[in-house]
Amino acid sequence: MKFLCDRSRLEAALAPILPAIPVKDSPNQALLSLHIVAEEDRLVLQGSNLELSIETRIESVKVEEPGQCLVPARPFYQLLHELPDATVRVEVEGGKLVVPTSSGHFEIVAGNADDFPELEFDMEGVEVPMPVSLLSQHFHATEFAAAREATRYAMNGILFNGKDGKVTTVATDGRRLALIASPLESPDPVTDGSAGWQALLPQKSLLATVKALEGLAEDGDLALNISTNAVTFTIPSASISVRRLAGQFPDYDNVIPRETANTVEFERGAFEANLRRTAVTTDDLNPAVRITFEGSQARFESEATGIGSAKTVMDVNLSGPGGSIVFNPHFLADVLRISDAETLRLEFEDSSAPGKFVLAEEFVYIVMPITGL
Amino acid sequence: MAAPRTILHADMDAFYAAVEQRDDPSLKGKPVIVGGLGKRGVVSTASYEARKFGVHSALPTAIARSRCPDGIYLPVRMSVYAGVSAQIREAFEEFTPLIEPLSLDEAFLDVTGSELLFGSGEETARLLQAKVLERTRLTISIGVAASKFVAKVASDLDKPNGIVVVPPGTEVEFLAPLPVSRLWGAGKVTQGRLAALGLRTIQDVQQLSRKTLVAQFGEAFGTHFFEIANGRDLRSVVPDRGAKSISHEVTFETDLIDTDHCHAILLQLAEGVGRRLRRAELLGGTVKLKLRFPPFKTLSRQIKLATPTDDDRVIHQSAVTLFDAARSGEPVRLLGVGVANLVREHEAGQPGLFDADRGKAKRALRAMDDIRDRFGDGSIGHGGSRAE
Repeated sequence: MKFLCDRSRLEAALAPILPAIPVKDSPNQALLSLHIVAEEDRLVLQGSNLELSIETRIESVKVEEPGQCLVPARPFYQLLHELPDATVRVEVEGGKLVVPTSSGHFEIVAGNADDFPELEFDMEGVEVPMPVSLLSQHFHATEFAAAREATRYAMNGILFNGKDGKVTTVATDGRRLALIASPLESPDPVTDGSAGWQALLPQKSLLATVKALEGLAEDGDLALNISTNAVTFTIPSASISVRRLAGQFPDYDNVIPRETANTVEFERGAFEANLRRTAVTTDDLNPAVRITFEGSQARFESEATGIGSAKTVMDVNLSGPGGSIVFNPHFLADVLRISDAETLRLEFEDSSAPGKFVLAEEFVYIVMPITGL
Repeated sequence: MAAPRTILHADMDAFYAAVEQRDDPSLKGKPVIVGGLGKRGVVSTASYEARKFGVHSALPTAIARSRCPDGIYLPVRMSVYAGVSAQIREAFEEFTPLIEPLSLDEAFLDVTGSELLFGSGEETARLLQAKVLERTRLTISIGVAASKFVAKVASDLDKPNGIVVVPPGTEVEFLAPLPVSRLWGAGKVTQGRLAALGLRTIQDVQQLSRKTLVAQFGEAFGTHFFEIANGRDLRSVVPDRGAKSISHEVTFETDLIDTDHCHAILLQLAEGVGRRLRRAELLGGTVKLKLRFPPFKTLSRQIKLATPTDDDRVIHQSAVTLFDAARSGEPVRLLGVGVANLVREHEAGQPGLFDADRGKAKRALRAMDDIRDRFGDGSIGHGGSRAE
C-alpha cells in the first residue's frame, strides 16, 4: 500500500472516526485500530466499536499501490496533526506504516487488515432520505433528556419514528421527555405507508454520528438505512452504522398531556432568568423551584436549608384557574438553553400531573413535577 | 416549603456497662463500672446502680473506687461494643438512611416523612426502641424533636428506656426550666461566665436579647446561644461518610469462563440485592460490581444512576455493563453486585413519568419476593438467571 494525500484532508477524514475507537484497552486490540484501504484513486478509513462503525472516504487521492492495513488510530492521527507538510506520503513496509516527511521519518506499527473484526451490522433495510440539518436539529432538541445509564426501559436511547410523511424523535430519562416532529420534504414510500418505521439508537453513538455528519456535510443530504440490527447514515463522503438498541422504549404517547386546565404564555428570557435566580437557593438534595401562577403573574420560590430562600415574580399570560407546580430547575434549564423562541407556552393540569412546555409547533417537553413539598 | 423535620436522638443507656450486665447476668442490679483500671484510668461508663454512688463517666477510676468500693470494675472490651454498635446501626438503618452517628452508642436519625411507614415521630421511636431491644437485649432512650439540639436534650431527660417528645413549636417552654449546662457548646468556662451573669436556667438566657448575648460571648457564640436557647437549630442530620451499601457476592470453586454464565450469576446477585432493597424500602443510587480474576486480582467498578432504583433488572443491566467493560475473557473467580448511596424510597421526591408502569413491575417483583420467602431462593427468578 502506497499513497500520497493532502495532509489536512486526511486529518479531517480521520478526526470524525476517533469517537468510534475505544480509548481504553479493548478485549479486541484490532478495535483500537484504524482500517485504511487504498483503492484506485480513493482512500477508505474505518474505525469501529461494537456499537458504532464510522467509515469516511477521500476521493481523488494519488494511490501508487492499492492495499490495506490496520494502524493504531490515535497515534496516527496525532502524527498527522503535528506534521507541517501540506502533503504526506504513506506506505506500508514490512509490518510498518512509514511516513517519510520533510520534518523527519516516522514509522508506526501496522497490522494485518484481515484482523479487523467482522461487525455484523446489517446494511440492507428501509431507505429514508432526510437533510443532515434535520437529523442534527432533532438530535439536539432531544438528546439531553435521554437517560445516561441503563434503566428498566431502554431510555439511554433516542427513538426515531417515521410515519405519515413525518419523522418524530423522542428521548426521556423517565422524569422528563423531549419530543420533536418534522415533515420529511421528500416523503418516501415506507414512511407514507401504514406501519412506518422505528429505530432506537444509543445516545452516545448518535452523538458521535451527528458530530461527524455536521463536520462533513452540514448542509448536505443524508440517507438513512434502517435494517434489522442497525441504522446506517450515508452521505457521499461517509457511512456511519449505529447498532439499534434491543430494549423496549416506554409508551411515551400516554404521558403527553392533551387537554389541561391551565395554559401560560411567557417570555422565555425572563422565565429563564427567574429560574436561574431562584435555583441559587436550591441544593442537590432538594432541587426544587415552586412556580405559582396567579392572575397575570408567575411567582418563583425556593428554599434550601443552610443556604437561604428566594422569591421572584414575572408577568405572564395565564388562561385557566392557575395554581402551583414544583419543578427541578435543572430539567427546565436544559430545554430553555437550547430554545431560541421568544415566547413559550406551558400547559399543566395541577401540581401533580406532568407539565407540557411547548417550544415550537411540534416540539414539546414534558416534565414530571416534584410532589410532596 | 421547609416543613418541620422529625429528628430522633437515640442514645444507648449506660452502654458499656449494660453490655457487660447482659453478657454476665450475675452482674444485673449491681454497680458495674467499665473503664481504665490502671492508676490513671478514668471511668468510661457506670451502670445506673453505680451512678447512685456518684460514679460517672470521665471520673478517675481511683476516685470511683473510693466512692463505690463494692463496685465491679471491668476493663473496656471495645471490640465487643463495636459489634453491638453495628447491630444497633443495622436496626437504625431499617428506619432511615439519614443517620449521623456521634459515637458507638448514640446517633441522630432524620425520619422526616416516614409517617406513612412508621407513624409519628413518637411511634417511630417506640418501634426503634423495640427493634434495638429485640436485636441486642439492651435499652435505648430517644428524644424526638424538630432539631438536633432539642432532640439531644430530650433523649437525656427520661433515661433509661425513655422516650421524650418535644412537638414543634413547644421548644421554648420545653427548654426554659433546664439548667444552662444543657446548652450545647457550654463548657466549664462558659458555664462559669453564664453563672457569673446570674444565668442559671435556659429561661434566663431566653430572656436576653441576641445583642446582649453577642456583647457577652462574641458574635459566633452569642448568636449560637441565642438561637439554641430558643430551640432553633437548623443543622441537618449529616449521614456519615461512605454510606452503607447492600451487596451480594459469590466465590466460585471452579473459575467461570463463559460470559453468558457470568451474566446469569450477575442476575442472581442483582435479584438478591433488589430483594433486600425492597424489603428495607430503600433505593440504591449507585451500582457496584466486584470482580476477581485468579489468583487475587480484584477490581471494583461502579456506575451512578440518574434515578435511584430497587429494580433487579436495572441493577443487573448496570452490573453487566460494568462487567463487559472490565473483563476481556479472563477466567472469573469471584463476582459481587452491590448498591450504595441508599435513599428512602418515598424521599426520592421526583415521581417518574412512567410510574404507573413501574408500579406494575414493582408488584411483580414483590410477588416474586413473597414466593422466595415461602419456597426458598431457587423457586423463582427472572428469565435468564437459572442458567447453569
